[in-house]
Amino acid sequence: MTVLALAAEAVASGTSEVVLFWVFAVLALGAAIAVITMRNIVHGALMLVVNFLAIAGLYLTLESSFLSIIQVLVYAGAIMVLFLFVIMLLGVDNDDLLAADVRGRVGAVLGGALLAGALTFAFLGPYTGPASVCGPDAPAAGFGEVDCVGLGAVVDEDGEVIGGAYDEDDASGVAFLGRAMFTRYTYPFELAALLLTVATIGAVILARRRDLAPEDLDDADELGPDADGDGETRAEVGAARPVEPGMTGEAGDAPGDEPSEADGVVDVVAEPDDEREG
Amino acid sequence: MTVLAQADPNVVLIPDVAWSSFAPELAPTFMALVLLLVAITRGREQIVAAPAGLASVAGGVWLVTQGPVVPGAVAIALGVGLPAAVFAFPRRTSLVQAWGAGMALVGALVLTGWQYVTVLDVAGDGSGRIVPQEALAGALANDGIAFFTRITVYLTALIVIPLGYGYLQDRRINRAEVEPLLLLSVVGMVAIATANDLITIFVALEVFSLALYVLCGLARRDRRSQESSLKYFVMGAVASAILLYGMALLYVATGSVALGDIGTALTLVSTPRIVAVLGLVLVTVGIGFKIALVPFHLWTPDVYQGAPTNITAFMAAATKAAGFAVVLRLYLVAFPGLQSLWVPMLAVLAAITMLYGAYLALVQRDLKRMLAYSSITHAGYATIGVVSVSDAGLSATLWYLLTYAVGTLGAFGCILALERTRKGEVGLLELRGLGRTSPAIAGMLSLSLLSLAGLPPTAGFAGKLVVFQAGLEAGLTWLVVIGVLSSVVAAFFYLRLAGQMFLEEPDEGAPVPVQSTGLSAGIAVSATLVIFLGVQPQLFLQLADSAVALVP
Repeated sequence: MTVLALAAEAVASGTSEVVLFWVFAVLALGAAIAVITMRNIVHGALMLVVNFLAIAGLYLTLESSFLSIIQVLVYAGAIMVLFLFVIMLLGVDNDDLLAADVRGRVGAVLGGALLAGALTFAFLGPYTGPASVCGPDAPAAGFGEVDCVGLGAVVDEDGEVIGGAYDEDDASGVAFLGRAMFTRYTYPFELAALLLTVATIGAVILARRRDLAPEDLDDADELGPDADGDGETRAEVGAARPVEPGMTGEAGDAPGDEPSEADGVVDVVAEPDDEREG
Repeated sequence: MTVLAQADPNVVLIPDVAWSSFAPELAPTFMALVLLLVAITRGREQIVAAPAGLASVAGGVWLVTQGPVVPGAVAIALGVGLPAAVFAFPRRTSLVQAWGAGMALVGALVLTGWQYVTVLDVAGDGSGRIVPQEALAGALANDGIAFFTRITVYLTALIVIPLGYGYLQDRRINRAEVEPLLLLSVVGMVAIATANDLITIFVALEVFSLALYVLCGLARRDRRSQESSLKYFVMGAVASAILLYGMALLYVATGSVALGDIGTALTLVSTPRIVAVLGLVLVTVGIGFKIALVPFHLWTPDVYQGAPTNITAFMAAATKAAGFAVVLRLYLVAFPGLQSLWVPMLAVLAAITMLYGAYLALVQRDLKRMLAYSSITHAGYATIGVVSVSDAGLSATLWYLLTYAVGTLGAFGCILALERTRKGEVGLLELRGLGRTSPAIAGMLSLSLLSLAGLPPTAGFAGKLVVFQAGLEAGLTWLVVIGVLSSVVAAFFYLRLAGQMFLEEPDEGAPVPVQSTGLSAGIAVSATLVIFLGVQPQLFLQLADSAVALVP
């Protein structure tokens, strides 16, 4: 805030906003491209951190200091740690994480280029004109233009800031967000609580390694001829999981009396015609 | 926003919550949480059920003394009902949960009716039209779409619970989390049907989608179920991201997340049009995934086939109702300014969907997969009502989704009966001669399939008739012709299947249907509804007609 407040006079002419915007925007875009082009997935993740930080900077130029700090804390901090954790858990040198077939890649490139082109086309006109920069010198928005995005300051005749983003009661950060969240957006806020509940239940279900009662089954014979279905969708699950010696490590959790998941995997890979494990 | 403007930073704000505007959702929400707690007591359910019941009864009595009698009565009934269920079925948690969930859904239906009578202004001019209302600072709209979708979704869930109970029991996947997740996804679906701004739409979408991802993967030892869950999750996450991107662009273009404000802003010339159009296209892609319109349908067959069958039934019937509710509100409230763009776009999607879905349903050999493609086709029919952009089209879509829901529930109910004794799916050829061995199930299945095909005197016929009428009135003759063509193809196929069941001899090793009380009750109710809505459509048609007013 103070840095920005010091820059308030520069803001009045709109130059600092433009400079900050370009610095952060180029950083964010460059880092985002690096995320998907880096061969080393850890480097990609670190580039994501840069991207998050740059976006935090963009929030700052939009005079949303609280959101900016939260972006750093939650995304660059917590979420990235989780990402890296998962990457390390899966194994860093797993190159097939990045594999994609050529057709898909061409389609993705085409779609991405199309979207990027359309977005550029859409934003270059209305959002890059002189009217979109805040400040007393900014001309009024013409047809199809948007006026004053960002560090807005309402300045009276003497050059004193009297409102806009510098109005302390308004829009500066946590107070504004809190008020909005608990008045206008109470309902989605409460729904978000339900969302977290559902996610927690789901995580518990997925994380439980052994089922209460294995439905696989005492009666494997009944599985019999149910291969009537189309085979196109199954197999991959089994095939995609290579049988490594490491896989059987799971067996240590389920000693003896019941078939462990690892056993099932081995079974299926050994007999690819069998649709189900067990 | 008025509250916001007056806010004094030194005064603690207590949000003014209009509880009555989402009263029906409260019953399943609280029941879901109580049932979760009940599940962890492991055989001593009364520890949770009794205090929760007591609290609920106390709350109900307080409500009754305060004025709203019906919600109070519902709270008291639930407060008595849950401990009673625990008492009646000691140490059988899953049965208690099924009963509890059922009671909560009945309560929700009662509250929906109460809301219709007291909260929603039914216009006094005799037309019975619902006067739409905003609530919770515009986050929620109580209009006809909300009202009718509530009925469809709650009814669907209510039928699915007894349908699936025995199936889950047989496969030993009747986990303690099933009913709570089902209830929470119901709440999410209703929330998206009532949502009146983009943020609420997105959060509600995630609530029910996440619950469904987990429910699809319930059978942890069944590879198809796992595949179904993973596929749905990955595809759904991508779709959500695209939807969110579209919403962000809409916000950029219009400066608001409230649907009504977006609608106003899109009519202004100062709104950057290309950004708005991009937002519209991306939102259409995202929502198209959820309701499975054709270019975005790829996940549907695998997910429907792999998921536990009762979950498939629920997904097919309820998700579609919720998805179309949000489609209706988004396109009719927020996007009228871009009508010249999205009407042709959705019309073409609907045409492709109807033809492609019907064609692919023809070549399937697996019953669940076939019904998955059939559900895709039905999304196409329902879209006709949306692109009609008229009162008739709106009520036709709502009505169509109800008729589709009862038909599809009946069909999946019969599949559930057939699947009880086997681990895998039921192939179409195995249905040969089913009419000889178990005429009741074969009859119900035929009836449901006829309804899905749209033959009189079933609900499906009444539904298609109304939708096609709306399309014709809107001048979409070509689309209606395609719809009729696709229904003829589907009808041929369903009739052949019915003929197979009754005219041919059963094979060796054909599946033997197993029935239980809950399953029979569920199938019977849906079959009755299929006939009732087909023969006596007036009651619900009138309700759908009264639902045409929207929050501006």
